[in-house]
Amino acid sequence: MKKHIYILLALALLSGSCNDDEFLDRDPTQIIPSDKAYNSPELTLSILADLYNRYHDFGTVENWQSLSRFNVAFWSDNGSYGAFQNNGWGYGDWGTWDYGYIRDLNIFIEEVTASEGLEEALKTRFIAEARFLRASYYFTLVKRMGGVPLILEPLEYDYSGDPTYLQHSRETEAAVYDFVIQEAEEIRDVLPNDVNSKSRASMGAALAMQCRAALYAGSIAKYGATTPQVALPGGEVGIPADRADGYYTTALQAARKIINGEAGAYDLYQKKPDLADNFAGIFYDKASNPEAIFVEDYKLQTGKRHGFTISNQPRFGAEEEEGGRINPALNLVQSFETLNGEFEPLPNKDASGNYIAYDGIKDIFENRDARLEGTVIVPGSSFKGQEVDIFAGIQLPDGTVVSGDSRGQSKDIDGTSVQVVGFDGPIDGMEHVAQSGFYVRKYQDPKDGSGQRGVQSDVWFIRYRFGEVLLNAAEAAFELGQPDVAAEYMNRLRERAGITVPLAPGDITFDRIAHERFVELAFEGLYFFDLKRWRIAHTVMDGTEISETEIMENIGSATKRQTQPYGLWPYKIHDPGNADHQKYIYKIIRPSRVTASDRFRFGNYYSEIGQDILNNNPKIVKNPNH
Amino acid sequence: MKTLRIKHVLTGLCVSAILASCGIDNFDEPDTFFSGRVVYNGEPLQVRHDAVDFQLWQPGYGNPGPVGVRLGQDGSFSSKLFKGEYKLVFTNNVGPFRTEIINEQQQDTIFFTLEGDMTMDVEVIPYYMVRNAEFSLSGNTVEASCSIEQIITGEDARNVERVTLYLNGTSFVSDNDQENYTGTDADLNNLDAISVSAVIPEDNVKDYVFARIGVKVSGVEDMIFSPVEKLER
Repeated sequence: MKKHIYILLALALLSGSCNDDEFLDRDPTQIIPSDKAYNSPELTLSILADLYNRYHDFGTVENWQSLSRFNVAFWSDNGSYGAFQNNGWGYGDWGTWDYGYIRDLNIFIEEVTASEGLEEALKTRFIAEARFLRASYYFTLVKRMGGVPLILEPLEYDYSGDPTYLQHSRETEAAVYDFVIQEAEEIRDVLPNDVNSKSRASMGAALAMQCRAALYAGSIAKYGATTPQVALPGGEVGIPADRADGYYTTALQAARKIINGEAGAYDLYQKKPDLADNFAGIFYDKASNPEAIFVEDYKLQTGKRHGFTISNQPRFGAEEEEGGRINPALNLVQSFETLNGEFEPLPNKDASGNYIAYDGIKDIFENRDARLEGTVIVPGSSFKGQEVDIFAGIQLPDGTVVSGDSRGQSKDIDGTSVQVVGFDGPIDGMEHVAQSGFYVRKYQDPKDGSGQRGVQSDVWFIRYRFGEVLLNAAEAAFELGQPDVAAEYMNRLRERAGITVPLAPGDITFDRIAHERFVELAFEGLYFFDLKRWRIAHTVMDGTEISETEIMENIGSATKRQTQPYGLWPYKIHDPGNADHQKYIYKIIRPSRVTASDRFRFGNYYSEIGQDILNNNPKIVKNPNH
Repeated sequence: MKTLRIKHVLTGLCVSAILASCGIDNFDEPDTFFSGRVVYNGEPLQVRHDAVDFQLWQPGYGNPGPVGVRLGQDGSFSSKLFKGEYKLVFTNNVGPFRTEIINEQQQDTIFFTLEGDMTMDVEVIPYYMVRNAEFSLSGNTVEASCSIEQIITGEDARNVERVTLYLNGTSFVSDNDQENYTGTDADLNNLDAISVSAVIPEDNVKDYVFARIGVKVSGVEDMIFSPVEKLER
């Protein structure tokens, strides 16, 4: 009997407790439902902020290696020497396939379109921004993978057991570029025409993207013909050559809109009297900088900051006992022209083969393109008010060299103690010293504390800038047979760099264009795509060593071999009583950690599509040479 | 006494659990050798070590994925596999050769069944072959001569970009700069009578040298070589 009572009691309790609908049906406290999120401007903006944050960069200040690849620099870092001791790259390198990001962008666009709680003007801007980000990512995809499936709305699975309707085949490479260009065309007038909107999409950003995409597509159409191996019969990779002119025209038009001020008052950054400081300033001066168009911004005392300066600051006297990782290579350093606009190796020997003795350690770099010292910290120049101490050893009159194996070491020479090596090296094989003889300057933050792990840096990363737009316009104009226009645009950049002799229309060649991009845009993450779209990567990096004589030849040639980084080391002459005492000579070296040379294979032009992707979707065709 | 017994029981249980967990759902390791050479008319193709590869696909086991097999520099390969049915395909555009189209439907895919150790010669058609390679060493100079025979003619023919004599201190010799210490390009005036010489760098003190002639075909990544020859001082 007791048992029955218990059962009844339990039943009564169970049925009673289910009555309260409100108790079980509560709003979650950890998830914001979409009808709430997309009806609030603040919440929608925060979702958009996350989407901005997931922008894919090839090179970024958050990863110092990503900005200094392909032998424009040696990496003075024990964990990174391997990159100079192998023959190249895997087919899967640089691959990206983030359709999760595209899905989130598509959901955002769909939800904002359907939202009733947001003002119409705000909706239009949010949607245009998301479309900008989506086009940006498709641009990233097409640059690295070739044509990809264009998914423009969120795909939903119907749980029928048959997912084939979700499997889309790859579009042609041209179709994806067309999509990017078309999207930019449609959203540019909707986005704010505002020079000061730098970390959010603006009309200038849309135009800059359109310009770059059209230029890349045009050059793939034109130069792809030279490498028929890098193409697929379905056009997923490769663009028909007859489309080149159309793309170049689009690129030039888009660039002109920015140059003519239709998108706002963008201009070259020219605020500082010292031209080298001025060039370096483009990358850290965030106060009304007319050059930056679209950037990834950072802020101190938040989670969004980076350690580029910590990784790369000159190590001697730095705020942390580290730095110096990117060591620009001689290959790059000697490419900067003289102020007369001529290519010339750094003169370290005279005509009869003897070393030239220079009074000052910096004299060998005199009369060079100001971008050299804006991009590179050379021996004798300063960072944060402190002169770098770079010299490799003491050269004695009998031809021997005295050097040390610890930074700033002193040794006994002729009875006196003499410093035999700089506090910044170079010491071969010692990480964080200038093993090539140089440190990087671009993107280094001159603010106090930027080199401290607790503070870090808030220097922005510039994705599109006015200087690049000028170069894009120059290249497109050159390809369209308007060398006078190309010369005019390039001369603006060269004038800013202090080059006194302007280019004449007859001087404009493909090599000139390639060279100008090489020096102006070094360490900005664009060199890789230039090599790819011109289809010269396999020539520039052909797996053959560079000899010491070869390194000084053909400066300014677009197809000059760049398989290994070289260095230039200063030595101090010690010969009391002789006129050359305390003067400097320079020797060309190859860091001993560089033991192999890079070979860029045809299969590296477009990254390998993962086997899991191919298995999930049999409609996806492989990239060429994989 | 009681705790002791529980300990024993627990230890026993652990041991038996460990023993029992072995063997279950573990495959036997692959035990069948598949080896052979890539040949033209029965003659093995000399290529760069570890650069030319093909893929083996074994259908029927969940998500497919290829087994990559790379050729040694004498054109040989070897792989330890499970028994079963396989398809052999060359990676697109790999190697200094073209593959033979077997038939319309199968294209150049080779089907085979692995039942026990197996050797197979895979026939391909190279663009060129290096014939009659001869090497001699006098002092520090290696003299070499050969003739270059064009195999693929007509529409698919390709030009010779360069012919290079490579020297190395180990038996690996190729255009990989870690596998040669010097290389000299030959004059291409007469492909039937190539002669080229290269000087051993002074820092190489070994009393022997390995030499090999390579042909770079334009538009083709991998070179075709002569067999490696060891020369003694």
